[in-house]
Amino acid sequence: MERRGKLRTDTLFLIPAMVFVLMSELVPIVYTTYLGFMDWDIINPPKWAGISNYVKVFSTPELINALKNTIYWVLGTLIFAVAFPLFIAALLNRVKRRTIFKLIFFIPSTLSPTVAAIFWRRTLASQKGALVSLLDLFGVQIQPILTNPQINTFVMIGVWVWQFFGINLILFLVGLETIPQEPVEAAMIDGANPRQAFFRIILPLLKPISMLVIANALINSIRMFDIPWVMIQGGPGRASETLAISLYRESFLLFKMGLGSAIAVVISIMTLLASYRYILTLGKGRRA
Amino acid sequence: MKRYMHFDKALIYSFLIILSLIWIFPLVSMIIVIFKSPDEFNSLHYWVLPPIKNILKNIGSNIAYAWVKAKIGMNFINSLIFAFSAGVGSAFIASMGGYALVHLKIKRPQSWFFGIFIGNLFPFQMFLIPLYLFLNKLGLYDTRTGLIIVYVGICVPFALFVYRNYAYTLPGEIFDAAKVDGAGKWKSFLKIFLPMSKPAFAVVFIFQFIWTWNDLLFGLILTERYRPIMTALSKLQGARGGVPVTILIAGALIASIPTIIVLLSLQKFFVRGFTLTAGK
Amino acid sequence: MKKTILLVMVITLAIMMVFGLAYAGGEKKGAEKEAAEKAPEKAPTEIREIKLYHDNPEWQSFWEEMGEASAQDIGVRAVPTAFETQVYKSRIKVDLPTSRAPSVFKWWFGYRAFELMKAGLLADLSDVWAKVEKNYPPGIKEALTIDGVPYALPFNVGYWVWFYSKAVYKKYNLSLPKTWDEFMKQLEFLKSKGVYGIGNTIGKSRWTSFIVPMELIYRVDADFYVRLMNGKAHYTDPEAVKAMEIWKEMLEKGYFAPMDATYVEDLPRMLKEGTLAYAPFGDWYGGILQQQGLFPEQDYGVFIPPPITPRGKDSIILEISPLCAGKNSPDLEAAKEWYVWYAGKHSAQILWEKLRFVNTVHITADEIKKGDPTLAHEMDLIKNYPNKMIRFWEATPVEIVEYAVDAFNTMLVHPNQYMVLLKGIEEKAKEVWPKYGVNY
Repeated sequence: MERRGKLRTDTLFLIPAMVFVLMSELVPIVYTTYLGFMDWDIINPPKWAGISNYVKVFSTPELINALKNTIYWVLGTLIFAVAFPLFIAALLNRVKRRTIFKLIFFIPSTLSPTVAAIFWRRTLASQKGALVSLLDLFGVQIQPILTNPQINTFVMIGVWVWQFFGINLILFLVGLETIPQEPVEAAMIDGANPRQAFFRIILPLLKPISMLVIANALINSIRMFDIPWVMIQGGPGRASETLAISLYRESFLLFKMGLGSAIAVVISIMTLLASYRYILTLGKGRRA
Repeated sequence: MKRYMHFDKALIYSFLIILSLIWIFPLVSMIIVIFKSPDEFNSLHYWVLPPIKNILKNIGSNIAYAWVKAKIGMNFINSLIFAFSAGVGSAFIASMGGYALVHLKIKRPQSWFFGIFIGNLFPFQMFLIPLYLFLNKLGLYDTRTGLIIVYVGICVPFALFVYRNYAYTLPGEIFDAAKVDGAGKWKSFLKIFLPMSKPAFAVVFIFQFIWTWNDLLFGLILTERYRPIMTALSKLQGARGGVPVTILIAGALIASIPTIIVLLSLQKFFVRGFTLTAGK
Repeated sequence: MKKTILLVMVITLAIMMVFGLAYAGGEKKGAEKEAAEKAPEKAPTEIREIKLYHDNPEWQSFWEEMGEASAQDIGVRAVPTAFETQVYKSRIKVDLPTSRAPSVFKWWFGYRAFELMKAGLLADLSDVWAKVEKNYPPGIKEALTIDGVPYALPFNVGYWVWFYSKAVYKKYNLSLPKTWDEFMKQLEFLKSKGVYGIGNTIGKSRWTSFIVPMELIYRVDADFYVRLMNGKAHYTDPEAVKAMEIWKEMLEKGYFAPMDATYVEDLPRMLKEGTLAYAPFGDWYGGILQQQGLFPEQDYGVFIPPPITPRGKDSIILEISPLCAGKNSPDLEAAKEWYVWYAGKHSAQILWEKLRFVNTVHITADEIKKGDPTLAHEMDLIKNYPNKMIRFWEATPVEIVEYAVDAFNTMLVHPNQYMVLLKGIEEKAKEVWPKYGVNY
């Protein structure tokens, strides 16, 4: 009897979180999933469409191209915005004057996508642009970057990394700074080299942070929308479109809310499959 | 051995400096722009500076013009309210949840966590119309309350993720000891968990303040009278007109200063935590 | 050192907040004051408010002034709210079927209004037009009527012209080309001198890619253009193919400015300093050029390029930005009073002074000549182009337009794929036209 009472009051601690999330996220999610089975152009009542929208997600060439671009974003993020910051954090950890570096890398993370786009458009512009003008001083000429369909996705991934790198760098640095030195030193005395110490001892100790970083990176890169949209609307044409942009275009440009919703659901399931391991894993066992 | 260490350090420093130069290049480029007046920007080469006495004058007039033209005043205040509420609100709610999930007896804590976190997996654009309709039904459309609820709600899942992971690094013995001393759950939470979880608070507050401050879409759709600051920037650059580049960039810089300040003030609280104590 | 920086930034933030609070209070009073200075003496006792929605945040202060002016004049205040274009259309569409429908909102005419009309969402403004018809030049009401129901008043009536750089013309002693061959030769000459010929860029918006192909198509055959818009001609017909081939050649010969330049920030500067010769756009672009520091007739002028074949002569593209009313709006009655005010002299004055828009007959030709000589010159020119055709964006079903715009975007980077792209648009048209009851 007493035990049951204790469990119920324990749950009270979780109720506020549940209520807020229910109102602002779960209601829209249910609504959107339901819309995925409909055809709705907003101004006329919705019509039942069964699974036809979901089928379209996997059979339309433009959407498959969007999937390809999304995968580039995910890979780019994991390599340059997760692994790379970890490496830099390890370097920074060996350096005394690190605050100025921390700040330089983190300040881009504080900017909104709108502002980042304004800054980068002016930096990469072919007319009175910072980069072009700098190269001009050395007599070097280049082609317009943002409208070049071959490379603009990678350029924009660069902009994204510019913003996202700092956050993960700081998080990893925090983790590294507070790792107790004894186990590492003990291992080194026992003959382990720095690389082994890093992978066998330091990395596992970083798990609470690295799981957070990886999960966050996967979630944010799969639903990448702001940067390619604000910089070039997923163009030219649809060349640099990501799945989230496809979602947006079907819903808000072509008013096919049903197809847009289906894309959203597919994105979410993809994210779920990719990241659930990182969300749930914490380390050996769990606190009782 | 010492010589090897020195060479090592020099290499690291050089590498870091080159990387920092790349990172800071766009920001430096933007500062150059606001040093100039619109005419100077058009006529001079990008990297040629105007006469020194003009620079301060230009910065002042670019910023003043951007502030006035975009009517940033009220939006600035709105964003402060929203971002602060979201940061503190989501942190507090998540601290309760993180504490409970790890240090209290919850049945199936993974499911709870998952159920709360799953909201974050969804692309946010799809929330716009349902939330708009939902807030209207509740009569909370175009109110500060409605928007705060939405912002806090969206910030809670990540905040919970942070707090849960952090709570895991606090040894359970501390709370067991408190229980032996007769402290109740709520007291343990307030007097032990909260003070000890300052690093988690710093992380959550910084991230969620920044995210909420930088929001564009929700502030655009869910309110008309209480618009946040990023929507004000669009007044400076539209398809049917816009201000000269120097003023646009000045506006973007003004809009970005508070988040930079928040970062600078709180980054020293990232002191400990987020690692598993060895041997557990 | 770090503490000082932090202190400086916190003080800056505090100053901004104080500034912000003080200014926020002052903004509203400023708009009211400005409107009061221009309004007649009588102040109505009770002011009703109606909502006005638009998608040009850069014009928010203009609409606020209009709203205050109408409040002073007739006791109806239009409270404007801006949305960015990306969410504007869906927001309006979500509201129109409900009682939240806006009573005044900016929209697009042609097919984009047709879909709203078909869903029964637009109000009938016949009674308003009955009162104000004499304020507008002939033809406007008809253009804003679907199935005999006038649904809007015009906000902007824009013709599509080609802006040209006076600096370029002066430097190379050029004269306006009288035949298409002359025009192409001129572009080739400019290219050899390192001057960009035509500014048509997708730097900040994807939709601009249809401008040039459509200008070319109707210059090949204006009647074909109209038939194409109505589903009575095909995208793979010889006229369309010829236009695309000309476009392909122009692209490959490099007559265009870099694609990532922007209409607001870059092209005006390039026109002024003489690195760009032409920019085809709606005539409201003159207002933007002036905002960016160019002077009409001194730095820029407008002209209408010659047709490619005789079947393309005397024609010009027209776009009308309408202000519509939602049928389900609870404020409809007050809005109709506002619309009558909107067609009046005071509103015409504000439109002219702030945006250089002339829709009504209230602004005299002399005033136009004094305020914007290029616009006056254009109004004269237009008289020679009696065949006015609707712009592509509104003239044909939305699904075809959106698809074609993407295809044209792709054309900009892969001109040699023009046949493939045309065929793609044709396929899309085949799919879409039957939904409108057209036998394609």
